[in-house]
Amino acid sequence: MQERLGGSPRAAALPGRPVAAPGQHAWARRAAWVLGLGAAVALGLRLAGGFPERWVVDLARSFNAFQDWVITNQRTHPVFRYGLVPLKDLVNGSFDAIVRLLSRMTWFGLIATLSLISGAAAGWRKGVLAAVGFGSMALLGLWPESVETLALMVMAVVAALAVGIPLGIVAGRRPVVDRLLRPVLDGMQTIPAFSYLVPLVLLFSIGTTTALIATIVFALPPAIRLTSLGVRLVSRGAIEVAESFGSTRRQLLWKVQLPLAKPHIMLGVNQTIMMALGMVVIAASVGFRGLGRVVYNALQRRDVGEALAGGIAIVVLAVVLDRVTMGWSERDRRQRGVGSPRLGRWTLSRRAVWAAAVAGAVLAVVVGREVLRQQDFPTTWALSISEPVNRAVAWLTLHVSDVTEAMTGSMIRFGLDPLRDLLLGVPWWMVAGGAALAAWKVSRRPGLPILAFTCVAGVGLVGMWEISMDTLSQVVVAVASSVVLAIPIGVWSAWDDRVRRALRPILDAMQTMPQFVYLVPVVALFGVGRVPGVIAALVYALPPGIRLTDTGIRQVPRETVEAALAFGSTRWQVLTKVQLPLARPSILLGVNQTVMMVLSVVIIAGLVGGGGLGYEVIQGLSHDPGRGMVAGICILLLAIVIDRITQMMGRVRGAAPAAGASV
Amino acid sequence: MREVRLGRWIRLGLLVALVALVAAACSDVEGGSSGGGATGPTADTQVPDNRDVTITIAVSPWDGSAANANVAKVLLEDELGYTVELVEIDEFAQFPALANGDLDATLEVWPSGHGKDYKKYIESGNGVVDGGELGVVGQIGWWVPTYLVEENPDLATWEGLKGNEDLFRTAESGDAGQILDGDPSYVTFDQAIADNLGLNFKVVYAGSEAAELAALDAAYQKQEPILFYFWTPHWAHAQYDLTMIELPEVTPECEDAAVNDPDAYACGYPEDVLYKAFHEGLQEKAPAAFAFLSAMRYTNEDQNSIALEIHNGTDPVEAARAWVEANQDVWQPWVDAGLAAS
Repeated sequence: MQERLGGSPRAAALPGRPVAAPGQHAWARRAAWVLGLGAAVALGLRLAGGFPERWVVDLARSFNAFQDWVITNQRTHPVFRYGLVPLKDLVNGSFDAIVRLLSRMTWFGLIATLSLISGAAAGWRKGVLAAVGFGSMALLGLWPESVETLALMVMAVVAALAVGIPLGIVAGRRPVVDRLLRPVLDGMQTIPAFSYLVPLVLLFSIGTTTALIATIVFALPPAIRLTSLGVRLVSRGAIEVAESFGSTRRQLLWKVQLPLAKPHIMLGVNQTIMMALGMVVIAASVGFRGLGRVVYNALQRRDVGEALAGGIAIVVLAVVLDRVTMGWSERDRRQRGVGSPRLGRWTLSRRAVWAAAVAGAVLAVVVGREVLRQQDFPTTWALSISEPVNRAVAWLTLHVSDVTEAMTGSMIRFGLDPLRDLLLGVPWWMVAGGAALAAWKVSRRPGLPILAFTCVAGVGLVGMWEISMDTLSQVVVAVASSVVLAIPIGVWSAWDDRVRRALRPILDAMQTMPQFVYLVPVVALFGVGRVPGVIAALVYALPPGIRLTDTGIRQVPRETVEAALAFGSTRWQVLTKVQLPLARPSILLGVNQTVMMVLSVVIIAGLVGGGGLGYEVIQGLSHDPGRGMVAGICILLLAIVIDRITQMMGRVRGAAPAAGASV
Repeated sequence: MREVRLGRWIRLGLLVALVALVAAACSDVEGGSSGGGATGPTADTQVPDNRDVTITIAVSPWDGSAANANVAKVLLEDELGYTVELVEIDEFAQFPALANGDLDATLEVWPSGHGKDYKKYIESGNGVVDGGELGVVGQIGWWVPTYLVEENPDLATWEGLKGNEDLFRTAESGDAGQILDGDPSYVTFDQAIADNLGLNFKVVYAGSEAAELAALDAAYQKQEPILFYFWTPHWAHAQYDLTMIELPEVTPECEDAAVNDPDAYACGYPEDVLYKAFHEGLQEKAPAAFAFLSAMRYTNEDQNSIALEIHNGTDPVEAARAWVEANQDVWQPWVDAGLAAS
């Protein structure tokens, strides 16, 4: 199965493959592989399928024992009385103070201040974007909620960076730390928050603190990863030069490594913000208000329009923060050593720009307080999109669902069911062995196969074999459909700048819109079951595939394409023989990202009837938190196996382009 | 190079600090905030002054719960002078928060979904006390849209479902009919009931109430068959005409099976007598509020009339206030109990 996941036929037909010259020999080998696998599967299906029950270890019980201990001790034990409770009160108190402060700046003052900061830091265009963005959040009638969410984001991101950047520096300078951190970071990103919400609530109760911690856990990894990567990528040459001039380690860090790693660190900041926004709705389930609460409540009333309004506000917030932070770091790079910003024929000093921004912000706050005298955005000015959206969804349900239901049927019959039956029909060691084999094929070293085998076996050991294989079959179908859709769209986008421009906001929305918003329409169209889960995962996981295909093809040197055209290649030939092969590392990175994103929304499948590990996690919230955590760990185990294998595919074959280019 | 960057950060910090100072120096803009959110005690001399005591009440994610909480809020504030804060919070987080006092009360607990919590938190004396019955009675069961029963009256009972399972087949349920279950926080015996009654059904777990309702809505619009686990009171009954299927009466054997051997369960669901739960320290912190909330009790009709208004878009506080104005005879005893305790 892993074979099918990565080894698309394209990869086989590539020219310049380092392994062997194409021809009869390769075909024969390929045929032998297919026959061998087929025979193995046929044999496996005759053996007893699944995982032997007597080997199962009950991890859930120890988690639940911990829960019981907390329940009986939380009012008396010193850890709670003098540690956690005061900490919680402190965080909640300072958060309330920030929100109070932001609201007292009035809506007008706050929008103006944020826009001016954005403008001064990232250029006036970004300032306008921020003004329009925050203004539209107010117009949607969600101003107070937006302020709360913004405040939580700021607190979470600041905390995540304060922890993440130093840790990233250490990891970047010491490979051991990096290797130790890696599985932890994987866990933080792939174990669904729902599986550790219960322990968090037990330790920190409901409210801001728990929401904040959950957000930090999820948002921290990119800050560490990208800082570490940036530090590691600083060229040996630069370090040696500095050392030969007698730099101390500290000087080396501050004067060489950090400045050179800054683009990566800024990307980390940006990604941290994006991740933090992904937790907005989850935060609502532990009693945090904000935009997530809007979506959550609307969902409860099946009010798709209102949920969409909340979702749009979240998307807008994400887009504004993304563009502003990116603009800030890019501008910083561009302007270093170049002159100061210009206004018409006048050159402004940076200081003047900031002074003007400060003055403008203060003025706006005063105007907001003394002239407008409105703290919250007036509700009468707000627009409601709820009615028309709900009408549209009702129309869709009535008129499109016949087509979509037919799709549902065939996806189950020809994709999900056979795959699940296969995975469950063969014995567990055959699935684990298949994973190990795939790992061996891509790495040619013993480490990865052992890891793959252990992880897959681990899923069985903790007693989640059937459920995990159910989820795995859904993940494979989602990834396969995603790749099939993403590559053509990515190619189209690479060919045509207009398509790319049109796609950009759509892809942004697909990535940042909380899935809870489209949960109801997806069920209305595709019924309850595994298919709506696959569709929801598809919506979320398509963008990286499209973007990375686009990037990969655009990076193919113009001369190579022109040379191919000069030799009389058709456009199709240029695409299949030149552009796609050269873009392969990028596309494979896209596949890797797609898998990880599909795995990170397994929980949504659980919410729309897809069952599997997602459902286990959700039922864990109310019935068996231990089991929910174990299910979360299984998601992590699957993620590690698939991530390492797909990453390795990109890396080994990453050597190909050089050879390919010379063909 | 580094000096330049530091300078930028410092300037940004200064800007933020300056603006913050300006704002912090001021108070709330008058009349600008969310209007008369906190009504506070009226000028009535009868009302005790408990303004400094804040009672936090949980609002679960359904309209009936919002109705209870807002009625309590209006009365606790207007008649007993407390400050009340409502916290919208998922059920799974309520008992931990009740135990440590971040929540003072939750007014609607469904016993069928919280057997373990009752044992762990209330019976074992871990910070939560039973606040007595709310008066509202819930009923879980199997439901179908009424248009199905009108077409074929047999479908109103489980015996009539026998042989008609094919009506409810979906791509997910395969050869069997589908019973759609929703939010996993409720206890269900659906697969056992179907198997033990000899019905060819497969339970499909929607995993969330939202997904279940979306499926119901889609079926309803197309007037298609659907059989699902549902309950009353719920706002959906105002929007869809639904009929509960008659399942066998609850027997002592079933009550026993529910606890000891869920696979042997073969009856309908027992009534859910909804109850309230309080933080153990509430009585000491706010005796009047404790007495009031303990005495609070009203009927399904009372709650429904408010919940429906909320569902139709009325502000929950306003909906609760309208009910309070029309039903003094119902709530006066609760307030009297509160006044007697203070």
